[in-house]
Amino acid sequence: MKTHIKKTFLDIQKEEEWLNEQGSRGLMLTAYHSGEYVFEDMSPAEYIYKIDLPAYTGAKKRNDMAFLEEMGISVAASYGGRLYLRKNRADGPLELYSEKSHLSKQLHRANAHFFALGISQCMLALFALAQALFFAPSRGLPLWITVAIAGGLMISGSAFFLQGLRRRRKYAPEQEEARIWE
Amino acid sequence: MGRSANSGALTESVFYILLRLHQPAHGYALMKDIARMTSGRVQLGAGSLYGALDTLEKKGWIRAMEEHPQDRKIAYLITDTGRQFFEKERIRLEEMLHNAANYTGDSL
Repeated sequence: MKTHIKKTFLDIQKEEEWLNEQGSRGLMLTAYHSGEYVFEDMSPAEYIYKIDLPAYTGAKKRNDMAFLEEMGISVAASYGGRLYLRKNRADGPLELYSEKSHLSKQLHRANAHFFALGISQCMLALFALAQALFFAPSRGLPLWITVAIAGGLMISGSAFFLQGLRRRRKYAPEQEEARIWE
Repeated sequence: MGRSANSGALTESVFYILLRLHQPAHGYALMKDIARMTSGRVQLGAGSLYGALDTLEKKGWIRAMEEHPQDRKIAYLITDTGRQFFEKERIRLEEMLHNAANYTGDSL
């Protein structure tokens, strides 16, 4: 039986955790599109999931997907630069990146949208503020509405940016350890 | 404390990939054989293995035996250039072991 679930995640790690919860209940992801997940109930089988953000496009990406299939990892869906990977739990763990440098790049990519959102919102706020302050014909209500919106954008943008920094620190390998161990 | 930029040390994954590719192998065999050789200590992730094979092929250290095999499993083999770098690494590792034996008094 097919189950359709609509859900939106900003955080890829949280999305992966949620997918793994569904997998442990026997739900096999078969498709994903625009925030809609399609599962098939295959219990008592259990599935593990990973979301990969490959650096490849075009033929390289197709080769990468074929390679993953060769390694016993199914590509359940490919959407917006993300690969939703699936493996039957009975077939062993799903480890994608064993090299620290690869893992670090992957984590940077997974958190890059926090910085992109943060910076773009702050820039938009500054632009709106500058427009309102320097070009508004009067200091009436429209000006204060613009200032309020720009303030909101600035707060939201800063929050995204700080969230990105916090996550980067959280998932980055310890510097001292990195100096000692390969 | 880190490796100097020109020390020429290979990562452990690349070392074992080059070692195993002295005989032809495709991705899955590589991963399994390397895990077996190291008693499960070196477990290459599929993404890391694909990245390493792609880089090594680009650098000309390994080559695909057949570009478009029927079963889509591409087997790889080390090239002469790859052998040279592998040999250089082997000498470096032997030097390390030799120095360790000299300073600790243990025989190899």
